Amino acid sequence: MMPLVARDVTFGYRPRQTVIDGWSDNFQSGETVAITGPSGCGKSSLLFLLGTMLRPRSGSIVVDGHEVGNMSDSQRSRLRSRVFGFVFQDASLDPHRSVLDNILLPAAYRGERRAQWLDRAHTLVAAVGVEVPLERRPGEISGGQAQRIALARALLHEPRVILADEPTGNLDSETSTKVMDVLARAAHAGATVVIVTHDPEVVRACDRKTELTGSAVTGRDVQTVS
Amino acid sequence: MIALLEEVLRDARARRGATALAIATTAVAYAATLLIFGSSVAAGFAALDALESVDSRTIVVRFDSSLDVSLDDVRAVQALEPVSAMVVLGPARDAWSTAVGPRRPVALRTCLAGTEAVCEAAPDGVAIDAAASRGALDSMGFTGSRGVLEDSTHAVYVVDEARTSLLTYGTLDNTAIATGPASDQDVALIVIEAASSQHVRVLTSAIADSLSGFDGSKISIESSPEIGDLRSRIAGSSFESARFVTLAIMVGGAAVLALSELAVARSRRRTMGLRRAIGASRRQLALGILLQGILTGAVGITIGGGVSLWILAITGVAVSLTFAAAVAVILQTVVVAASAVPAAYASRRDPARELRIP
Repeated sequence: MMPLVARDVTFGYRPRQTVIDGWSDNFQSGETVAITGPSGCGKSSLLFLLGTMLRPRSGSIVVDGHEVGNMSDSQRSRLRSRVFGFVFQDASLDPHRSVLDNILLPAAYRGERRAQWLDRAHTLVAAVGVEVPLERRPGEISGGQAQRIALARALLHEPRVILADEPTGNLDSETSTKVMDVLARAAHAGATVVIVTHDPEVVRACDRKTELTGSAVTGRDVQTVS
Repeated sequence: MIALLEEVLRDARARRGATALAIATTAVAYAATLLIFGSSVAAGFAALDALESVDSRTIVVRFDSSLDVSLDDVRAVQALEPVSAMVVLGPARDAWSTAVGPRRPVALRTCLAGTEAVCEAAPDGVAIDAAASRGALDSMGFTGSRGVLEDSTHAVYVVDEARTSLLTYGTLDNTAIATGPASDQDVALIVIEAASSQHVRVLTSAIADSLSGFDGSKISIESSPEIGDLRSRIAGSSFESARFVTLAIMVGGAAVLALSELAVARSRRRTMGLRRAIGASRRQLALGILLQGILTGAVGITIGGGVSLWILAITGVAVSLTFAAAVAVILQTVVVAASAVPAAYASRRDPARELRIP
């Protein structure tokens, strides 16, 4: 079963605006997909659509065989906490909470005690190469470190689908490689990894890419890279 | 739920400043209510109690000697609910008296001047405490081996004495002095002690109604309802003020708390959006903020209550625990209600809108 399928998805933030027009794609388990395109073409919106945070105007998004368009808010929230891992463009860490708290944050909304995820959190921090005391607040670490902490948070529950928005945007090339290795390992373990990126190195590291070209994404520009 | 509570506690600890401010606000509101309002109310009621006296609670009903009123005829008066104690006096010729009261049975008190009082078993055969009865008769002014009343006593004075007597001679419940069946015992005077001066006016009217079968021109009902009326007015206005002040404190407190927490929630809208994005449902976010409100309210009330009760203990002002508990419950409700505003705001955050970078 395809973990993530988009069929003829059309979306716009306002009634007469169309950001994405009839876009379709099938995302398979274990593949890494790069979504590229110029700024403002709807890449992040696409990621939010796939992550069930936006509803398409028409068409459908199917996650694990379930059409999400008719799901209630709590069902979609549950889906996000169980199936998806998110890495946002600016890391989006809670500035008031420690690095460790940020990594463990999703556990609370899955109804799980944080204690059972502590070991996993430390393993992930080591895997993404962050060497700072975990009691620090996000304001006390660099942007690159914050982005990797966000990646660790996204990977905490070993999600089946990872949606990453410019995960290497603030990183040097060496750290970018390390982050991509982590994502590749997740894909190798069976996760579907969808990455919005401008970075050609990241695109090359992915199995295929979807290039969004116009002001309204037509869905006809899916290319296989390798 | 435990995981969510754990998260709420960690969040509260992480945002120490805001949490401390919310706790302090609640504590100050509670302490201020107890210290200022509570002590004022306590002082007001103490003053009202000081106004209260036996005189203010007494109603005297005098029957003209031409009226044929028996003890049975005035049983209805005894049954009126605000009657705390009642003394029925017969005319001198009948030499009897009895007293009844729903809460404090009044023993024989006195008779009119010249009456020969006979201390004997009550009509229902209940044995009397002879020694105590003798003492009571002595204290009432009965003299001689059989207790001849030498002085004429005024009705109000009688009740005033009776009150003391009730405390002193509480064992005289079954004492009675009677010379015949109740239907034959004429009544000359009834002295009634109302439960509170506030009941005097109503009770006076009820007594008049219960005696409507007799010629009203031959019945004199004497009472002083003014103090009771004054007490009622003061109590009424106090409660009105209390309601207004309580409402003002609670509405004002709710508004301040709601606005400050809403401001906090607005400053954290991106964080709320993030939580929605990573799987928090609207319900979980709202519940988390409400839980935080409940906890900060409980801690604030505990601290404020402890401090204010300590201060009240030092200053010697007594505030009833019922009042303190009622304010605590209301304040906790207000705090939780105030949390509902940011909770609703947070739960409506659209993750895509909050996290999207245009």
